[in-house]
Amino acid sequence: MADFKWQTANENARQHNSGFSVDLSFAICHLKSVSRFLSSLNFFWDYLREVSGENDYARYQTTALARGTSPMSAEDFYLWRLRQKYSQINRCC
Amino acid sequence: MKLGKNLLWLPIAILGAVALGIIAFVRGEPVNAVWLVTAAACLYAIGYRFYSRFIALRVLQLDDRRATPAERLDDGRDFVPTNKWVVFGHHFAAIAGPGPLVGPILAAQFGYLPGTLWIVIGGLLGGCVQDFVTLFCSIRRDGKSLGQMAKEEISQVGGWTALFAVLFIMVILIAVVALVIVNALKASPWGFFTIAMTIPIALFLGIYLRRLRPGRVREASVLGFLMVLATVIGGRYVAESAVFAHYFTYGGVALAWMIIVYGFAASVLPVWLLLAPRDYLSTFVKLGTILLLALGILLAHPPMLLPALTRFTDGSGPIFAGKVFPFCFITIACGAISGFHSLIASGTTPKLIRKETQARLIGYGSMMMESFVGVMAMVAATVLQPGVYFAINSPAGVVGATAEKAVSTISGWGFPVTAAAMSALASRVGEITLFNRTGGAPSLAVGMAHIFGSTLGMRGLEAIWYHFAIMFEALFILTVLDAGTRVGRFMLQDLLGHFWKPLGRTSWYPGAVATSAVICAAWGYFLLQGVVDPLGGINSLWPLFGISNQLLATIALCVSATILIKMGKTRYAWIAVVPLGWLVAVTMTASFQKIWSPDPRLGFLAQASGLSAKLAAGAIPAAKVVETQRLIFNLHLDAAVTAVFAVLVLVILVESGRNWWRYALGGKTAVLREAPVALSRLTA
Repeated sequence: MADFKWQTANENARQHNSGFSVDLSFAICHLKSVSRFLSSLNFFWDYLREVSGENDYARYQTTALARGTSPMSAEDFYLWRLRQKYSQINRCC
Repeated sequence: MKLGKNLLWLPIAILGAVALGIIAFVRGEPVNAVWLVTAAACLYAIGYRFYSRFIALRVLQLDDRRATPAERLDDGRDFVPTNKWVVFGHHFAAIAGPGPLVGPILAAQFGYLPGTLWIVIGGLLGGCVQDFVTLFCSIRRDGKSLGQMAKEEISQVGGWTALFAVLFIMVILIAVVALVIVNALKASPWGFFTIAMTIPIALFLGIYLRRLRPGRVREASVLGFLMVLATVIGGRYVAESAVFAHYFTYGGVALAWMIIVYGFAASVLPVWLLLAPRDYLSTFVKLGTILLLALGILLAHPPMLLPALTRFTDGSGPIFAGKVFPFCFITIACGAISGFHSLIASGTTPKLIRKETQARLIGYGSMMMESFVGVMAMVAATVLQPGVYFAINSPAGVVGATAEKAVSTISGWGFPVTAAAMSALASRVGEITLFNRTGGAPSLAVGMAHIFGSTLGMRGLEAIWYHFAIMFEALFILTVLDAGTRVGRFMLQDLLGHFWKPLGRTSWYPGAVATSAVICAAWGYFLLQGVVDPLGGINSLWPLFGISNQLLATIALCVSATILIKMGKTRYAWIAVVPLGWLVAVTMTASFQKIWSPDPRLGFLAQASGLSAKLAAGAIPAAKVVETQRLIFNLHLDAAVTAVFAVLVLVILVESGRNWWRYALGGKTAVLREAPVALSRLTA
């Protein structure tokens, strides 16, 4: 009888643990999906930074310093970039 | 192994063929849009994998060992080696304009089949090739523009032809896109309010980016988007307000003048204040909406209610006159082949490309995406009931000025529609009326609202979706308008600077103001002409735009073919010569018919003669005499402009043909004007 109780208790514990394991696995999977989703969003946000030109000044500054020339200020670069972009055809029909 | 890899494409080819067969041959029942999208996707995949690869490897022989100008001339400003996906994003955002959205909507009057076949096949064999080869030629020439390449590779005459062609195209393009907006916003307080609010929003963003948070483009764009969304939602309350609605309701002529004034202001004001922030905003909204539309079509998989072919293939179409050939191929330009793209492909993009082989993805690939946008626009047009589609897009001069007359005419064509149904639809989308809203934008908006509404289960928000779609179209059409006016001003100043130096200085304010006024007056004239045209301005202006755009494509393909011959690739020059031949046939036929056709709906001179005869016979009411005389003058002007385009096509063909003949006979040495070769040290 005691063995049976012990077995039953063990079975109960195993069921309870397996239920707990399933919940934990589900939570981990869910967290991983959320994490993957967030890192995709992050990647997309970084991509937008590049396409929108937010990194252009940093790149220009690096190149200018590497050449030993003094770079123009961020504001001057922004204005120069706009003038250059909109003085030529840059939008199609 | 290679055979195995290629065999993987067999199921794609079979699927594409089946889908194409279904959209081409099924009659009597609506075909689901998924078949159209599937056919297009399969063809694009095969075209990119095989045809573009053939061009890259055999024809152009792209060489990653050669340093591109971005690497050789890297200065961190003009020439910057950039990640290929970033360049792809830039290039696609630059080429994606209103053309692939509006053209297919208009060409849907022939049914979905002719337009779709042209978009996909014309795109893969024509537009993508033009963009790809032009981009390659410019890369090998340190980023030279199309005009410079035309001058060097064809002749001085070729260069001047390109310059004039571009100026003419700018004027017609701006006029026609402005007309699309006028027709979308007339008698629409909600729409007008939303678009009008984008101006102070853009001004605020300009100051935000310059003074408050310099350089934070993404932040500003998100903020701007949220503000614009708020105006889309708020516009309903303005439209329903007995007090405010009146201040936002205008007719076509008043709207046209407002747009002319706006274009002038955007051209002369500092670029950071209005033009640039509007451009950032419109780019984000445009790309997001296109993705949303693609997703919506895939999720909603709507049936296409417009048939594959309509009766109007015979040339009797209400939206624009002319048979399928050549007018389907003139009406759809940007979604299939657009000369304007060659200006973008020889602009900033070649100065950013890191490796030559990336030109395949950027040149061919982004034009393929643009072509796909055209396919989606075709789907958005065809999900409407045909009667509704024609009621929205047909001008009053063709179907009748009253709702009853219009529905009677359209139903008589075999496309049943009732005034009550149109009234209910207008009410659902928050408009006063949807009759005679020509230009393509309102019908695209109705189609998009239908797709978004059925996808997200928000049918009750149809009005919001409709006005969101109108906002999205108007936003980037106005960007084309203000950027185009500014560039037109620069080009004119550059030209006039040869005669009087101060005019050539773009920073000289009186010169900037004067040349902006000239450019605005030029396109404004065509815009006003289109607004008052009783047959609908789209009937006359859109073919002019299509012809001029294909003219520029002719120039680009002539340059491409010439360079291929000079490279010793004469046996592969057909990749440019075949689409060139097709375009010449199309533009010449269209030009001839638009000038000389005896059908007054089609031929400019026939229409002018008809009106002159009526005037002479006293059949025109006294109050309309002056307007009729102006209309006659405009028709002669349109005929003259068409003739000029046709002559320019012939000039460039003769010049190019002369060179090819001399190279073939050995009478002229082919001098390839490429930049010096240097070995690349960059990895891809």
